[in-house]
Amino acid sequence: MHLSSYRIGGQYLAEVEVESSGVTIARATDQTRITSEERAIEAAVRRLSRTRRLDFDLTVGG
Amino acid sequence: MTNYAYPEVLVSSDWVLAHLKDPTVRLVEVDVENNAYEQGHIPGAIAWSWQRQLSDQVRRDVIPREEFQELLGSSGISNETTVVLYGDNNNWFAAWAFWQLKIYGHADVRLLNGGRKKWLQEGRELTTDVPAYPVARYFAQKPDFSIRAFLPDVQRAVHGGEVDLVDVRSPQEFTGEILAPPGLPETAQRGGHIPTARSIPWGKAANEDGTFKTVEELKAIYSAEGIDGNRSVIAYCRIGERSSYTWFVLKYLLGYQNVVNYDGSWTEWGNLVGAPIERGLAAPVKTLVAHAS
Repeated sequence: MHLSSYRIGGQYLAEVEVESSGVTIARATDQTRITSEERAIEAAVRRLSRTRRLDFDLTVGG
Repeated sequence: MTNYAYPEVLVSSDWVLAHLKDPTVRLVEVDVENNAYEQGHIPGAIAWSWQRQLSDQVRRDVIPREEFQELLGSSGISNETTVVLYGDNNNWFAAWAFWQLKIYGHADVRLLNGGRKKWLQEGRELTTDVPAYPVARYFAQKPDFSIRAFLPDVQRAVHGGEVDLVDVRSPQEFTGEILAPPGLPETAQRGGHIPTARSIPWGKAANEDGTFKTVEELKAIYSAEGIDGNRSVIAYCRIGERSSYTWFVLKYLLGYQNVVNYDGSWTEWGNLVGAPIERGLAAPVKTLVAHAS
């Protein structure tokens, strides 16, 4: 995961991105950089916990 | 921009900066979620919701022609307007909006190379002001579905062997290990991929800053999986937005002629009773060629 944060006006925007795909998995805004990043990370963890996984043989045609 | 087949469909962030007040240009942000725009966007840009404004609200389909006309007109876009689309996730839904504008025949539509991410990373100006533009007259062409694949097209491709299927999802979605990108809600009853599909994740076409790779790099990526423009291609993903990104790459950057987007994608195929599914890794391209000869 890659965490970025930017200042926009009087607030900070933090975004968590899946590095391998460039997908923004979560974002959050708050008054400080640290709190916006913490909230974005919390949102990312919640989202990732909802990923549905299946277990099976991953070989060709498996 | 390098030697792309149709370089005019891409604009740089410098170009956007120079045209922020150009009345003939309309910037439109299309994100996965609307809160990105609300938190800060390029000055002068409006936002479209892919779920509410670019999708039929009753049945699963692209936006109907009359509603497309209404959307563009109310966005202050005329048939002569240069529409510049951008968004998050390296322009996932911006590319999907591009595809729909082409379905309805809008002449001049472009993508901001690098999307929202590049604009942010360059530290450029953002605003939370939402602009209002005067309503314009807009006439949408009859839909051109020559750039769209439907279920029968994909079924023929699976059984006929003359059309290449490109699965642009992540490797874990392709194998069936997961049903959707982490945390996203639109899944299917089954995991896996459409038989004969090649796995070429959409993100391989992008640099780290979100911009598109060069023609030479793109050709190498796709030809490694047997995609070289000599055969028709159907690109698919989960709901059709990542595959529209790949459709854009193949058609507009590489100039491959017969490329279509299967927007039903895995949420259609993976939920279809009786549709054949493969799981696990795809066979190497060389194996497929050997079997065909």
